[in-house]
Amino acid sequence: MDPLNTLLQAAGVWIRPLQSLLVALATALALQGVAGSRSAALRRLLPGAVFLVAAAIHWVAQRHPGWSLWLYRLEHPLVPAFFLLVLPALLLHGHRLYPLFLLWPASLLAGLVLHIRHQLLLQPPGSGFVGFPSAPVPLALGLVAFLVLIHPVLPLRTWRVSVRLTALVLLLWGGFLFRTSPADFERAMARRASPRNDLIAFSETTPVLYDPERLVYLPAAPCRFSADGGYVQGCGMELLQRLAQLDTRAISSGALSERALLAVALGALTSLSIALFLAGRWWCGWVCPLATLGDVLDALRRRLHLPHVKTSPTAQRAAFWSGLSLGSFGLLMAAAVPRLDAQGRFLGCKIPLYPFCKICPAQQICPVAARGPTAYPPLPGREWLGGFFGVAALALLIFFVAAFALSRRLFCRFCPMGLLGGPFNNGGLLALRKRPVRCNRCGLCRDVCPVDIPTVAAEMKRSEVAHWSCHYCLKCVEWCPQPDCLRAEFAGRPILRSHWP
Amino acid sequence: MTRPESPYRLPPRWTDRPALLRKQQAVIAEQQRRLQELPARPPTIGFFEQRLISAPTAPKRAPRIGLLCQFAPPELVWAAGGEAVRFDCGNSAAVMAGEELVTGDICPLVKATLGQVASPAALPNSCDAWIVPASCDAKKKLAEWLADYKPVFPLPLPPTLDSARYSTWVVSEFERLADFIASITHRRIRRQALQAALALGNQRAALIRRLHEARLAQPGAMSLQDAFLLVQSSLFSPEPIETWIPEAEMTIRHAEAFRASRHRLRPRLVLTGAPIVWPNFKPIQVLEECGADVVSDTLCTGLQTCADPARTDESSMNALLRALAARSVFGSLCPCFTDATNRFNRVLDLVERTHARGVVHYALRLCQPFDLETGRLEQLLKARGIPLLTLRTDYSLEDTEQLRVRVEAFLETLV
Repeated sequence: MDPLNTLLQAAGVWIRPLQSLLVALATALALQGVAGSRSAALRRLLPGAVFLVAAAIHWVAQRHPGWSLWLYRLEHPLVPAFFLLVLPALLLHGHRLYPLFLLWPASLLAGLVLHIRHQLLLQPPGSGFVGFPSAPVPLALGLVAFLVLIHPVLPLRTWRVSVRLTALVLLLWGGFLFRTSPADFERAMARRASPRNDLIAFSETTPVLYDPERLVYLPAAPCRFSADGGYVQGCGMELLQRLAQLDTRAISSGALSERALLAVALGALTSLSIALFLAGRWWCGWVCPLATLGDVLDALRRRLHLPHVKTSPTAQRAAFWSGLSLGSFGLLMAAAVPRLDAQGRFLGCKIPLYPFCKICPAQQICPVAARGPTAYPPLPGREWLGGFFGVAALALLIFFVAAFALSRRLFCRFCPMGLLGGPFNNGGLLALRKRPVRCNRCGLCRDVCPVDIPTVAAEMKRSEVAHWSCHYCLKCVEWCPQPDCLRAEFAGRPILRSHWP
Repeated sequence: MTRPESPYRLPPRWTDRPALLRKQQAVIAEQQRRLQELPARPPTIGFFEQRLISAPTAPKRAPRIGLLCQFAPPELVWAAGGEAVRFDCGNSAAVMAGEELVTGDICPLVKATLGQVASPAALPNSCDAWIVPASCDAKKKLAEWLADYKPVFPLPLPPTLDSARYSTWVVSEFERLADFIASITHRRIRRQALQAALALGNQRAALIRRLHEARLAQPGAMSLQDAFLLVQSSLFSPEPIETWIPEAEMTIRHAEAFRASRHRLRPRLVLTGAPIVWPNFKPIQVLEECGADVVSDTLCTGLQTCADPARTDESSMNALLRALAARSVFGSLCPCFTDATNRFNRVLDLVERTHARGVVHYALRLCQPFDLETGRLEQLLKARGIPLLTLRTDYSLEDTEQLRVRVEAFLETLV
């Protein structure tokens, strides 16, 4: 029996508003709006009321053919997990009934296990699939339920590692481990077997959630070059390159295919922006598979009890500006793609379809991590922009390894994929707050910060302390020994306060 | 480790007049007698009293290093296998001994400490070396005086509490300090030993925090004098901290179990200002005898001392020293730095957290850094409508009655 899928199918169209990022945004904004309100009734009831109204609007609008497609583009299979698990867990945490609430994720997790078992039984003999067949929504629900369940028994640092490893498995090997069905798996195998004819050309890998009408992107760097794309299409930089390489002349002249590409990319950009508004660069600290892979080097250094190199403000600024310039340069080159001639050249230079991906360390690290050293892509030769791509790819790879091995997360100050989240760190729904009157300026928050952010320690007037490069790893809150001096808030509600012991 | 030899090292001068020594003993006995009059003392408090009183005669099991301030971290000494003991002194009779050596308007703490140093039988002379943080002017100069007697490490401190600017420098000074300690104990400080020492220090910090919370919830659970006695017996005795921890835990558990039989009406106060060092508990004594509950303090010898842990998420030697520097130097409430932000913050925060009715500022006579901050503290608290009483006094017991009159008058304005 497959209770979870039966339930989801019975819910049918009714569950679709739960997948909508717009409904999630409205609910979260309502939560934030009434967080400080004196009226308890308003605090408890308004967010729920806003959710119901937004869901009703969504439900009515999806019957309208013109809007239906756009609503569909703004849906995300991870959002039900947000509504059904993350939000209740955040709101109820610390409540005396919280242990009772844990029965809910426990039953969802049991549902996922039954769902996978049911799918395995349906699997035809000899299909060769050794993973766990599961539809995306139940899988996301089950994995998040597992994380919510283990949260009360683990210290924060262990739980953070659990979340990151779960995200790594899903985004790096998810395409092998969790296919929706054996047929889907066979298609993936067929793609892997086909020889790549042009190594520098962009070989389309298709994630589990691939849908020509809706592309799912995550902030941070879930690289599309990991095995069969994992569960998302890729990172924000890939989406921006996709937008940049659209042929503006074709769009203005009304070419339908190009306009459809634009619509899909704009839908993906909107949902990416909402995801960023919900959590800022939290995605970098808790989800990014590239950083998790890099942190293996960091863990090795810690294991050897070696000191790390504390980065100077100059090095931090240099990393930031070079990341910004290289990212922008990549986008400029992507804009040249529609102007390529028949030989694939622009002003006499060969330019790949996704130019930034060619120099990005993720494109070299993620395939190797997913499939082993044989998957290492050969470096582009001299014919590609006078050897720029080969040299830059190698230089960035060396920088990645050196930065993670020696200096914790200096690379993340550079990372153009993460830079997109910076503007959402302040003013988004996730906030890092400080009560300066409780601070004795011991500087521990700066010492434990993996990006060496000085402002949390230095700020002695304002309460908003999240920095552009902050990853919301929440180590500063975890380590600050002063009671409630630092705290993390989601939608105006505290979710973690500093305390010791 | 080589230390620059001063060309002006002078022969040490001693003051071992029997009358002064007897007087010092009398001061301690008098303080002990007053403590015995306290109501509701924990049954295990005798351990801590004994630990403090027997400190000068404690058997020496390892090289002993004296520390003069909370800036000098005992963890480094423990990690090197040594015994650490604080030797700043609050004995009013020792002030007189010190006055035989140093003249002029110097604070009684420094005079008393020098008086002890010059008495061959006193606690400081059981040490093999001393660490003297260069905090205020008096202590900067004291280091040179003390160097005539024994090896001294003057620990330089940054002028400003800005960890971003000075952390690396302080860590390099701590590295030098670690070398100095190792040269005395003949054992190098290893990473594992330092980690174990930090863990011990953090256990003490956790206990002191628990005591603070217990007294906040039930000020009648333990008198502040007993709380000071408990804390200071871990600092001012060379006995290993491992023996202190279980006893303190038992005592604090007793305090946590305390439930007042009726609602307590005594006004709650926050004490701030200069260190109150055993055996001079005069200011707290007067406050408590006049009917106030001193629920919290910012003193570097009180419940805010050692209340912060030295922790870090890294395990290299450098990171451990950095954690020590963050705890002992940059988190300090001492007025010897260029701004009083830390102490003013702590006072305002404690008043809010403890629902205190007023603040008492203990300005030790001739302690200039605290004196200079008094006016601004008054102005700051006045703007927030928090009553403040400044007690300017020294170690002598002669002005006890005047203080009592002032405190009584202040408490009446709070009702």
